[in-house]
Amino acid sequence: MADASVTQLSPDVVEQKVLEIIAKAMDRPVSEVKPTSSLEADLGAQSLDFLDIAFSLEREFRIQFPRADFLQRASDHFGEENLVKNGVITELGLKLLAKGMPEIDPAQLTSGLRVDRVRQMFVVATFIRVVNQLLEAKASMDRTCPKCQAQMNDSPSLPELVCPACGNSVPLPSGDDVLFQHLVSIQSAVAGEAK
Amino acid sequence: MPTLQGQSAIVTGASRGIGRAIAIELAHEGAAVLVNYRSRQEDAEAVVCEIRRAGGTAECYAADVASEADVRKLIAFASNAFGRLDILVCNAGVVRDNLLGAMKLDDWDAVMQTNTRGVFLSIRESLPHMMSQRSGNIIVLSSISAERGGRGHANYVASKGAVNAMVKSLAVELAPRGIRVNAVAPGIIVTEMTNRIRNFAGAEIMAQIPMKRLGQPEEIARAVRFLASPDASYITGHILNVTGGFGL
Repeated sequence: MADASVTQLSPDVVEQKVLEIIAKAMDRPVSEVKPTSSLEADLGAQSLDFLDIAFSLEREFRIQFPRADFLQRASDHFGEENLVKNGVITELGLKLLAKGMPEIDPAQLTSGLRVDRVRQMFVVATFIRVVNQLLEAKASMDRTCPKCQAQMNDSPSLPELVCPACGNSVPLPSGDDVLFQHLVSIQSAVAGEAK
Repeated sequence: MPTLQGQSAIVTGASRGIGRAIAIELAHEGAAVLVNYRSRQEDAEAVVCEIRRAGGTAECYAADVASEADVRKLIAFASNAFGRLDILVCNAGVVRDNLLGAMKLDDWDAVMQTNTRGVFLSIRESLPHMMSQRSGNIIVLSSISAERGGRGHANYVASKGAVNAMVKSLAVELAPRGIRVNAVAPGIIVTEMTNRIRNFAGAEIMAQIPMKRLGQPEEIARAVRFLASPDASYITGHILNVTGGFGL
């Protein structure tokens, strides 16, 4: 049986907790943080704030947040030269962003978009979506201990499942791996549109 | 009131030598201390006993700082045991001296693994705690040799030079979160680690020390305690030489 307290949170609860965590990291009242708020433009986030938010989300939800951003992961898969040329995102890159980060306003994804602008498009909903994806990935893990077949629980302090019977531990899927799978899943849709 | 009352500290490589002295000094100043060791369990337990006998709080935990999994467990243990993490002292270090032309790759790697990678891992895994607290103190044990170089330990010198550069970078990176990052660079201190160099080149070394004596681990520990304390509240990115004037 899955750890119901963590893996079966309702979307509303997840959203509220993410809003609270981002508000706390940015030293703002939670009323100022909306799913549509831009981290940089509206909340003034800098690179260290992104990391701070990721750490807090990891502790709250017991997940492993990705360390690479969407375009970094996509570049590893598609080849950077296919996604970014001379600092500008290619048509393929724009299509991937539209599919992979649906919370971004499509009106912003226009030809000539520079890669350094993408980070400014991160909104609170980006974090909510990623947390939900990671929680789903965790919920779908096989919790049977590979050593003794007992049911494993979330570790209270590490990104892993722990067997209460034999003490064995299994790491949670990394956020980068989970989102890479997501990227692969949208690849065919993007390729279809490109034809 | 002790200056570190209510704070918690991890000291890596604290079963003996300078690390041991630092653990005892921080505990004396009121911090709850996690004594990390790699293999010398009895020595680490003796440090814990000494701290507890003096009325302090301490635990010990085995972890190889070069192992990512070990370091994660070490930091989680400290966080669970003490509820917070205020001070990280990256002290664990090894030497594998030889002339570079005769140095085995294993000797290069072993030194870089513990002295440089170990510092990286220890700091990285501590950051989630310190960043959420909006405060923290990171103190890395460097060496005066990082500045001066020296025959027969290019690997050690390189590892400590890397650490000095890391300290300066991190001081900038982490200042917005109230985390200070400094290093202490000891000269020649009376420990097991310096036995060989003291035996082989004792007179030559002494001639270069204006204070005409070797340092004691406790003198390094007091410098670490100072950097960890509110007295050093405006100091970050600093490499504090504690050398008796060695090489001046």
